[in-house]
Amino acid sequence: MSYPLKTEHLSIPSTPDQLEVIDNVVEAMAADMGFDKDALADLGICVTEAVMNAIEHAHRDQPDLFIDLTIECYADRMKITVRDHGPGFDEDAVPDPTTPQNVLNLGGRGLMLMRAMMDEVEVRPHDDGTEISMVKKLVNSKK
Amino acid sequence: MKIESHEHGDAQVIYLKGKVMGGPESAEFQNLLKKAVADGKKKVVIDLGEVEWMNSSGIGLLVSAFTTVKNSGGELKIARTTEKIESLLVITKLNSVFETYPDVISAVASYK
Repeated sequence: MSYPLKTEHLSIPSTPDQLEVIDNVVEAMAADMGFDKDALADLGICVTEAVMNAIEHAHRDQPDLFIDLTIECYADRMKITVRDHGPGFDEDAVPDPTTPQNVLNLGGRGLMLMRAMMDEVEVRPHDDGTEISMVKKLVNSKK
Repeated sequence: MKIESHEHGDAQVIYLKGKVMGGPESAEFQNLLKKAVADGKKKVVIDLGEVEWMNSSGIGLLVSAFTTVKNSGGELKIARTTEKIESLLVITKLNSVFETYPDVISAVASYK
């Protein structure tokens, strides 16, 4: 079992202007760890994806609800946990956005992108919402 | 994200720059596109050469733009996709929807 070398906890309101702030924090911490440019992009995409998911789907029209983020830097990986306080969602109910009938849907690609770009993604319910945790490995940053 | 727009002959070329993540500036892009369509533009090119990355909100913006232009009888094409954007289009299978070109000139020239 290993422990994080550095941990950052953030609570942000559910407003889109927070996306850039969160991206800046995550990419700066990841750059310090040695992630390459391509992996920094993956981390930026995925953390803004998870936060946007909380803003648009979990906390819809409730900007005062806070989203809690934990960013953990280990020697060999970064782990990001995004926790919302919404009604939760059924991942299996999201239609496959790559089928011909869905490919022009405006949304529904977030989790697919996270699973394609991160090494581990877990979606689980907690006491009053949903928690998404994702891991990007430093040694495998070209995934 | 930063947005610029220029006319290139009878085509409207919209340049996106930076990180396209669905922030407050998304409305600026949507308004620009609506204006181009309202002005009767049938040829719309989105230049992505200066885009670092885009998340699914950014991809949704592109899809929305594609549909808006198509529904008005026009055609939207994409110029200068980076390696990162190419991989996103492949993952989402939108590479089967969007016509992509190496530069704005060839995108504009491709209209019949």
